[in-house]
Amino acid sequence: MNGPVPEDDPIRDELVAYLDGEIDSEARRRLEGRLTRDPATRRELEQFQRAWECLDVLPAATVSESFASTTIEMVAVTAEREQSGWPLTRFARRHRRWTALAVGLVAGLLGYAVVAARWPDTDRLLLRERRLLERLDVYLEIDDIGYLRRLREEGLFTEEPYDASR
Amino acid sequence: MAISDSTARRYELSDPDVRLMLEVRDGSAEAFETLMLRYQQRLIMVLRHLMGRQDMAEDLAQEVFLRVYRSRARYVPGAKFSTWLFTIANNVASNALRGMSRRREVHLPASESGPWGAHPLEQLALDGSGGMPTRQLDKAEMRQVVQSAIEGLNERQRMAVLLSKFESLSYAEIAEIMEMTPQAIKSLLSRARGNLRVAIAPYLEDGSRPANKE
Repeated sequence: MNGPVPEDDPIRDELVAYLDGEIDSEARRRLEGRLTRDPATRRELEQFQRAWECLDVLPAATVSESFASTTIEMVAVTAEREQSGWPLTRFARRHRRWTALAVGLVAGLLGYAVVAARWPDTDRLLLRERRLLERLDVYLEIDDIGYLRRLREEGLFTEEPYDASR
Repeated sequence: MAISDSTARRYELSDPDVRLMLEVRDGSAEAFETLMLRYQQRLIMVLRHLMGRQDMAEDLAQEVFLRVYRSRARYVPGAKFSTWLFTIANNVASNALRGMSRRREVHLPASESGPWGAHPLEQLALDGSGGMPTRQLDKAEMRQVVQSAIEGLNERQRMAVLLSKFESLSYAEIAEIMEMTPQAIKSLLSRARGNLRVAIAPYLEDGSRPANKE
């Protein structure tokens, strides 16, 4: 091969990796064999190397005199802002377990109160309707409320005084 | 991804800058200042050539150091300190570049552009096509050529080149910083260095400007 290395030749990737020391021993052996045989590949390598070395002419960075001091000032402002929230955070972090326990307890009490308010107390309901429940079997047999009232007037339900207003 | 204790311990033992950062985590202002002084020039160098402007490079470098400080409480060494720092720098620079309206966002102000103005390669071509005698490029001119060649790369190529050249980072380290695979970095650097070669080689053929440049 005497002409230039084609643009899409994967050997270019290998040449760059070779220059960067990022090539395994087998690939190195193959590449060095080609470099020995092919002047076009050698020219490619040399051009890659020279272009890379040209980057050394780029000027070193200059750092302004105020850079360090202004950066430290900005960091100090950041630290101060963090510090203003420091006591509570520190307390919470030091007493992490107790804090978690207290939070859990409060959450539990709150949850109980919410549930208790929303769900009816079945025991109390049963107590209130005890009289009805004691005769429920009978009432289920009778589907006419007027008939029940007549039975009451005749004194069937003796343990309570008759009250026509009920 | 969680960092194992053994990994963190390994970097703590092998990297003195990781140990300094752990001191920062534990509240040492002196350790932070030491790290900042140690890395400021390197960081600004990379950002300067990435962004093309010294003032912007310093602004972004300050942002990087602020991010380092703010994240100190959560710091766990999962890489060399320099890798972690330049990962932050890459993110900061990427955000800055995304915020700009044009890809070649940096047009060197006339005062910074050297003897050829804002388009040195084109100026060189005009000078050459006018039949001016060829001469050796002096260092300032070569610097301009190289700067223009760097600016001709896209953002990712530029970052990979700068990290490889000036930080001497491995493909694996660059891959970690740029969130790519080492194989992808290999290809990226190959393309980038090919572009640099194409841009710079004509000026290296015999150490002088080309007589004609299309």
